[in-house]
Amino acid sequence: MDMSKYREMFLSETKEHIRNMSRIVLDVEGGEIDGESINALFRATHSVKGMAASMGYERMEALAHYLESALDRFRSSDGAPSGTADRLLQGLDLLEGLLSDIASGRSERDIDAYVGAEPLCDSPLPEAQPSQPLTPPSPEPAADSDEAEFRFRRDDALRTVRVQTPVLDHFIDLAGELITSRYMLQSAAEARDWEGLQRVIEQQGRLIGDLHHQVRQVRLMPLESLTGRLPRLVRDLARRSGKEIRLQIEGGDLELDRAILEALVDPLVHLVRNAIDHGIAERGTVSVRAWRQKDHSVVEIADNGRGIDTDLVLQKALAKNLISPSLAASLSEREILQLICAPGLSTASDLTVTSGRGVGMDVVKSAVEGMGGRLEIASRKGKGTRFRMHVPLSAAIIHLLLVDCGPHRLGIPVTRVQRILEVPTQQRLRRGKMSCFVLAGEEIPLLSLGKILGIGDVRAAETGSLPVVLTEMRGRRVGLVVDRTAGGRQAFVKGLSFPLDQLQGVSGTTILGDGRIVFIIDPQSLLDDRFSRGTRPRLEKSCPPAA
Amino acid sequence: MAHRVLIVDDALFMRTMLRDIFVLGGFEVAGEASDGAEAVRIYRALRPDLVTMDLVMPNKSGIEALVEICAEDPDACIVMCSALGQEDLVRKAVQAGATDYIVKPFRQERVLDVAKRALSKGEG
Repeated sequence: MDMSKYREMFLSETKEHIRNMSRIVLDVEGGEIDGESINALFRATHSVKGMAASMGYERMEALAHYLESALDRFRSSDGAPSGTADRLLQGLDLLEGLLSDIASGRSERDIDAYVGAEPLCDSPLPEAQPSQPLTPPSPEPAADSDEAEFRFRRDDALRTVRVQTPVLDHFIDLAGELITSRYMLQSAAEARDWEGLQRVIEQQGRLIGDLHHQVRQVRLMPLESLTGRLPRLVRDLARRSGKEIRLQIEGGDLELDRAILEALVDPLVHLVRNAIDHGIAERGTVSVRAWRQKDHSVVEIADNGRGIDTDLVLQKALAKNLISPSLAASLSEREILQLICAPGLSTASDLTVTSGRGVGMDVVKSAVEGMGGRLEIASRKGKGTRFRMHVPLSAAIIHLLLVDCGPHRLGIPVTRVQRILEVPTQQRLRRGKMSCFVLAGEEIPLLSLGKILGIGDVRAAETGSLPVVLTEMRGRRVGLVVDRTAGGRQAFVKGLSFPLDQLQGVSGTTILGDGRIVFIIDPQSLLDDRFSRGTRPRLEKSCPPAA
Repeated sequence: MAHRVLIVDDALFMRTMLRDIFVLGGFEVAGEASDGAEAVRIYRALRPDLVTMDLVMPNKSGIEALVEICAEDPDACIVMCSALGQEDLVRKAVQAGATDYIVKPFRQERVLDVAKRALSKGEG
């Protein structure tokens, strides 16, 4: 019979089994593998064997059979000998390798080295097996091709979702209603029945809202699909660095959009790796927590390690000419911490070794901001470091505040807007080349959005007040001066492709009802060349940002 | 009228394959169960003509389910599904009342042959 139609099911079910098995092994590691765990592992290998045999994948069948018989023998003896967890994990890795061979249509890799090596069962393994030395291997300078991380990243579970058929039925119903309403619009328009038209438009708005909501629901996946793979990563990284790491995960049931989850993979790996490699000296705890906060989600990675030495960060930033001495003097603790994300600084290897942070932090930051989120850093010397990734609920559709700047209408994600104010011109203060105003005792710099983007300065002075959008750049509150604000709206964001994606401060576009294209401004990256000079072109030509 | 079959296996993959085999063979698939406990419940509700029962499952093994079903319905027609290397279990199952067994991987003709033979045993 034609087996090809069962292939997808085979792949996804086997993958689920492999994942469950490694979870079981990792859960019991340190403790004894108890009878119930062995039974569960046995059943899983048995299922995999049966499926592989049905599909005709001989090597996978042979490997599953090998694991199954070993587990069966543990069942009838007094549990598993020491060293079993390692051997089992190796076997599961191999199983996963076979699965990816099958998934990509390659021939199955060789398993003889594993199956032929020291048996998994029979006599207990002596402690010092060559395959797993007792002394941890010397910490390697982490290469990007690192096996543990590669394994973490390669998982493509995020690319498939299971949808229950009633949900699909609902989609069809909605599509049907939209089609009906389209004809209602048509006939109302033909009859010039404006009231009817209005009614149908309202109804259509509700239908579209419902459709959007449903699609979003379908795209949701628990964070667990990501954090579930962390124990293995942490275990491997801890082994490699010879440290004792405890991992705490909370909030794995938080549901996030698939695209957001996908975009979180890299930052999560970076932050966890940094915490283990640099944050924690010998032993410590890495905690990953997640929760919903107002209209966004927060994913936090914290460690109780050395913390970040802000003095050292500042010194380095000055030495590398990333900031001027006068700016250095005015920076707050929070702003200094943000400096570790500056591209020039984060690759400084001496910083990495001594103060313990910085590998790929620019990558983390841009990944988080790329999905419309922001990165918050807090650290206490000697106490530990905490990174919070604030990420939006949905990647594609966001709320925008529309503003006008000269002839251009621009959008700013409302998640980036703290307040909208009218600042009377007489309250504007001069501070050298800059201007600012005082809000609740705090001096807030005023920057002209038009000037930053090189599309002209604000002409609004005649009304006696400046429309100001209060936002945050690099941990610092600033007021963006615009010509006027033009209301809010939901927008479907389209990313820009090269070379437009190089535009500084622009994160995407959306199209308005009248067909106009609106650039979406990302305040965080508007002034990026304050730290990394002139790497990205501006909308037009460079202008000093003072308002 | 088509014979009604209940498919019990913890793997969706296996259930789907068996379902296809039975539908092509002119059977009616009355239901599916993914573990032994569910199998007993569904058997009670549906009273199918034939059950294919996987041996190794979570919650309640195939043999436990078999024993329970046979206790309630001594005429139950149950075919065990096993993999190579489980001869001991299969023997136990047959002693406990299983009508016949199929060895995985499933082959269409073999599954249908065993199913028909098992049903005729029950009727005869």
